[in-house]
Amino acid sequence: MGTFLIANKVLLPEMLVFLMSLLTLMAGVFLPTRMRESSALVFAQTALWGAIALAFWGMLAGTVTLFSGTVVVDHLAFTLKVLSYVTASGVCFYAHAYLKAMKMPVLEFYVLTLLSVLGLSALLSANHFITLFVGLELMSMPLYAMIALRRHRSDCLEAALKYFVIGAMATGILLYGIALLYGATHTLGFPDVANAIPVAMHGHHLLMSFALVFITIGIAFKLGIVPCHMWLPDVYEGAPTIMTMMVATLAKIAALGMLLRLLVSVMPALFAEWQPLLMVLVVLSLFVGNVTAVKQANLKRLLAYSSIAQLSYLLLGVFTGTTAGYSAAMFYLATYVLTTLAAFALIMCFRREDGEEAVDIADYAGLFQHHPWHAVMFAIVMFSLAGMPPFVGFIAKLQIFQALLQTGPFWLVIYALLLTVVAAYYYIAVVKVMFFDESQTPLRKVSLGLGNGLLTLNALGVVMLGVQPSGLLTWLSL
Amino acid sequence: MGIHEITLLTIFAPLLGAIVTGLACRVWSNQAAHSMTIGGVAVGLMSALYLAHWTLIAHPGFSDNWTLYTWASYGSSHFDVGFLLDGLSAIMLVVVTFVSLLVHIYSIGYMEEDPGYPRFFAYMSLFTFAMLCLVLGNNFLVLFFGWEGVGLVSYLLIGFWFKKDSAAEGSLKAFLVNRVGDFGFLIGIALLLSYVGSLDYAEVFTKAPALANLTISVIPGVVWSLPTLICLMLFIGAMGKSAQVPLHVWLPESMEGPTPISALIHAATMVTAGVYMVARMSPLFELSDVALTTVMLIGSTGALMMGLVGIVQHDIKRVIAYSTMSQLGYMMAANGVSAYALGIFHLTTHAFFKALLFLAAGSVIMGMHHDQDLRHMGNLKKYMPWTYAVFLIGTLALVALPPFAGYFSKDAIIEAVFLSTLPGAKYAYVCLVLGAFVTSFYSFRALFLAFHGKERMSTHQRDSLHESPWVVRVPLLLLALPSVIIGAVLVEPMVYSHAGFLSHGEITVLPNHDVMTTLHHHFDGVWHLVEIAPQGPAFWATLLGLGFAWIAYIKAPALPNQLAASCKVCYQVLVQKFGFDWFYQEVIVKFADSTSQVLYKRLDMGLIDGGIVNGSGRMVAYVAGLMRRLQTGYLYHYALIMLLGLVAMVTWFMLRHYHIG
Repeated sequence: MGTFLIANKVLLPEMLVFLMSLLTLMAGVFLPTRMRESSALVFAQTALWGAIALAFWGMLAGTVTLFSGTVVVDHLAFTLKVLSYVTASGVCFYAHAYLKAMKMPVLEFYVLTLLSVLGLSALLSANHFITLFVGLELMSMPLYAMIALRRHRSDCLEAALKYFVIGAMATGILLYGIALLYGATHTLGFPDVANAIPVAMHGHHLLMSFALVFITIGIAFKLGIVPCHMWLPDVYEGAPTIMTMMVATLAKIAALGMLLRLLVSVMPALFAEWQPLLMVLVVLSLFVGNVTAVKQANLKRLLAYSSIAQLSYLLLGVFTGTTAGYSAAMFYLATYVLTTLAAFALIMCFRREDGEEAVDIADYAGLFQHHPWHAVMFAIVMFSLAGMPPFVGFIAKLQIFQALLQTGPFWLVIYALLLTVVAAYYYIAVVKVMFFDESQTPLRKVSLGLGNGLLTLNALGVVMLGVQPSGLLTWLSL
Repeated sequence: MGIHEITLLTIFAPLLGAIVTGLACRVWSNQAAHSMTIGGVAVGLMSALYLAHWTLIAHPGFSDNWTLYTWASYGSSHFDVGFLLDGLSAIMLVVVTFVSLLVHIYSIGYMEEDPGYPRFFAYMSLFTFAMLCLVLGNNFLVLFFGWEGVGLVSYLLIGFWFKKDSAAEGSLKAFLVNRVGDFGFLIGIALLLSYVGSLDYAEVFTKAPALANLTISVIPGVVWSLPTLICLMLFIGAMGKSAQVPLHVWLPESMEGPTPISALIHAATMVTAGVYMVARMSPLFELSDVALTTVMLIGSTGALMMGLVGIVQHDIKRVIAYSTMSQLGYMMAANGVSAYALGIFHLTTHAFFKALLFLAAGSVIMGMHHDQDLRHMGNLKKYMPWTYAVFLIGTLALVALPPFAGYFSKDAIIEAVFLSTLPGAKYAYVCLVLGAFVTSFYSFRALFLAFHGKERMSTHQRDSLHESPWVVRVPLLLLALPSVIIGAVLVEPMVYSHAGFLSHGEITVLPNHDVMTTLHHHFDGVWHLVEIAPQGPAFWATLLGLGFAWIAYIKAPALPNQLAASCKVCYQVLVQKFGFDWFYQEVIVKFADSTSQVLYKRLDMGLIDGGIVNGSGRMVAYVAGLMRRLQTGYLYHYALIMLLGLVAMVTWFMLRHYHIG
C-alpha cells in the first residue's frame, strides 16, 4: 500500500477527495446530529485544501502517466485541478449558511460536491477516452442530483430535469463522436488517437469530421454555448443559487479541460476543421449571449446569457490555435470563475420580504443606500465582467484580444469588440439600478457565515488581480 | 526594513488611511476619521524624513530606481509600477507630506462643523497618496496615474460644497481646463512611447539624445523638431496643472473649495506638479531651445500678469490665488532658463509660505464668519494677533525681503534669468523685476486692508471676532518657522553647492544653457547673500511696492479709488483679468456651444441618435425580444435546436468535403 501510494503520489489528491467523501457520508450516519453539518464542512475543506497541497507536492515529479497510459498528470491537469479544488472550496464556504437557511440537506451537498470534484479531477487527468467519459459522468451525475436537492420546489425539479435530459443527450452525442473516432482510428488512448488521425485522414476524412462535430457539440453543452445554450437560462434561474454557482464554475472548468485535451492535444491534425467550427460557434454565441442579455429582468438569467458571451471569449482564445491563445483562455477561465463566484454569492446575500431570493434586477434598486459595501462589490463584479480596467476582466479580455490580433481574422476582433460594447450596456445597467434608482422595499440581507469574509476577499481579488495579474498569468500559461 | 519598504510605507500609509476612512465614513465619529488619516500621513512624513535624510545627507547622490511589479506587457513594451527615489523626489516627498500633515491638523479646527468631515479627510489623504505617486514614479505611467489622481481629488474637493452653485461650476471649470492640458500631456507621452518604445524615465532619458535631430511632420509641409514637439506637448500638460497663462483660469475658481484645500492642493503641492514634471524631464527639455524659451516666456509673462490682476481682487483668497499663479510663473521661468534647481528651490520655499498665507487667511475667514471680502475687514491685528503675526511672516517671505525664505529663491531666479542667453530673456527679466514690485504691492495691500487701517466690518462681525483655536494656530506656527529660515538653510545645498541635493544627475543641464555655474561664482556664504540684496533691482522694486501700498492703503486710503477712476481702462483690464475669461466664455464656449447645437440637432439627434445609436439600440432590443421568444421553456424545443445545430454542422462539413458551396 505504502509503496503504491508513493509510486502514484500524483494521484493522492483524488484519493484524498474520495476518502473524505466517504468519511463525510459516514459522518452523516454515525455522528450526533448537532455535529454533522459543521464536521461535514470541515471534512470537505480538509479534502479540498489537502488535495491542493498534495497536488503541488505531486507536481514536483513533473509530468507523469499512469495505469498503462490512461491517466496523465501534466501542467494542464495540475493547474485546472487546483483551480477546481479552490473553486469547490469557495462554493462550500458560501454554501454552509445558505443550505441551512434554504432548508436543504447539508450533508448530501458536501458528499455530492466532493464526488463531482473527484469526477472533474479524473476528467482533467484523462489520457484515454474511457477515463474521460467516466470522469465526465461522475462529475455530471452529482450535479443533476444536487439541483434537485430542494425537491419540494417544482422550479428546482424542472431545472434538474431539463439539465439532466439535455445533458444526457449531449453525453450521447459526445459518446457517438468518440465511437466514430474509434471507428476511424481503432484506438482510444489519447496519444495513440493523435498519432492515428493523420494516417486515418486519407481514408476516413469525412468520418473524422463528423466525429469532430459530435465531440465539439458535446463539449459545447458543457460550455453552454450555441447551439446547446437553451437550457442554460432556465437552469440558472430554476436551480438554487448555490447550484447555479457550481454549474457556472466547475462545469466550465471541465469544458475548457476537454477542449484543450481533445481539440488541441488529440486532434491537432484536424485544426483546419475545428477552427472554422469554433468560429461559427463563437460568432453565434457572442451574438446570442450579449444581445439576449439586454432584455433580461432577472439577474440570474442575465448572468446566464452573459456566461454564454463570456465563454465565447474564452473559446476565441482556443480558436486562435496558438499557445498564447490557450494561455489566454486559461487565464480567462480562472478570472471568470473568480468573478462568477462573487456574483452568485452576492445574489445569495439578499432576500425579498417574503423570504425568497432576490433575483430580479428591480429588487436591487437603491441597494447602495442600504448596503453600500455590497453594492460596491456588485459594481466591481459587473465592471470586471464588462471588461473594464483596472478589474481582472479587463486583463483577461486584453489577453484574448492580443492573442487573436496575432492570428486574425481582424473582422472577428472588431465583431467581438463591438459586442463587448453591448455587454457593457447591460452590466452597467445593473450597477445603475443599484446606485441611482430609488429603492422600493429594502432587501433583507442574510449572513453567509464564513462566506461573508470570503466574499469580501473574493471581490477584492477581482480588483487585486486586475492590478497585479502577472503572477497568475505566468502560473496559468501553457 | 530596507529603503524599498520605507518607500512603499510612505506612499501607502496615506492611502490606507484614505480607504479605511472612506469606507467607514458613515459609521465613524469625526475623531476616528481624523485620527486615522492623520496617523497615515504622519507615518508618511516620518518615513519621508527618513528617506530624505538617507538620500540627501547620509548618502548624497543616492538613487534608487526599482520596479514594484509589471502591470502589463505588450510585445516589447512593458508598463511597470515602479519608483525612483533620488534627491529630487526626496525633496518633494518631504514638502508634500509635511504640508499635508499640517493641513490635516489644521482642518480639525477649520472643518469642525462640516457634515462631510470624514469624507473631507479621506479625500485629503487620497490626494496625498496620489501626489506621492506623482513625485515617486519612475515612469510616465505612474506619473500619469498620480497626475490624474491629484486632478480627480482636486475636482472633488473644489466641489466639496457641491450644493453651492459656484463650487460646482468651479470644479467643472477646473476639470475642463485640465482636460485641455492633459490632452497635450497624453500626446507628449504617446509620442515618447512611439519613438522611444518605453515609458521608463531612465530609458527615455538615455535614448533622448538620439531624438535630438529627428523631425516630425504633423501637418503636411510643416516640419517640426521631434524633441520640441514632445516638450511643448508635455509643457501643455504642465500649463494646465500648474495654472500657467493661458490655461490658468481654473485656479481662481478653485478657491470655492474649503481653505485647507486651497493651501494644500492649490498652493503647495498639486499646482507645482507641472514645475516638478518639467524639472524631472530636464534631459528632454534641454534638447529644445524652442521649448525652453516657451517655458521661460510663458512663466515670466504669467508672473507679471497674474500679479497685476491680484491687485484688484477683493476676496482675500483670490489675492493669494493670483499670487500663487504669479509665483508659479517664477518657478517656470527658472525651469525655462535651465535653472531647474532654482525652480525646485522656489517650489519648496513657496510651499511653506504660501500654505502659511492660505491657512492664515483661513483663520481670518473663520474669525469673519466666512466673509472673505477684504473691504469688510481692517485692523484685525487687534483681534487676531497670532494670525496677524504669521500672516506678516508669510507676506515678508512672499515679497522676498531678506532674510525670509522667498528672498533666496526668488532673487536667484531673477538673477538666473538675467544671465540667460535664450532669446527673449531680457523681456522675461523685466517681467520678473516688475513682478517683484507687483508682488510686494498686492501682498502688502492685502495685509494692510485686512489687518491695519479702519475697522470696516459690521458690528455683529466685530462682536464675535476671535482668535482661532490652538489646533489652527499650531500648524500656522509650524509653517511660519520654515517660512522664515528654510531659504537660508537650504540655499547652499540646493542651489550653490557642487555636491548639493540636486547635483548628482537628478537634473540635466547642457553647457550652453548653464547659468548656474556663473551664479555659483557670486556665492560667498549665506550671509553674504543677504548683504548683497540691495545691489539687485528686485530688492528696491519690493521696497517700492511696500511704500506704494503703504501710501495707498494706510496713508491716503482714498487714493486707490481716485486712481481707478482716473484710469478706467487700466482698471477694467485688470478687473477683467486681461480678458481671458471673457475670451473663453464669449468666443470659445459660445462657438463650441453654437457648433454643438447645430451638430447636436442635425447630426447627433437626427442621424446618430435617431439613426445609429437609438437605431442600433432599438435593433438590439428588437432582436433580443425575438430571441427571448425562442426561449419557450419547452424541453423539446431546446433539444431540437441542439440537434438542428448538430445537423447543420454535419451538413456543412459534408458540403465542404465534397467541395460544394
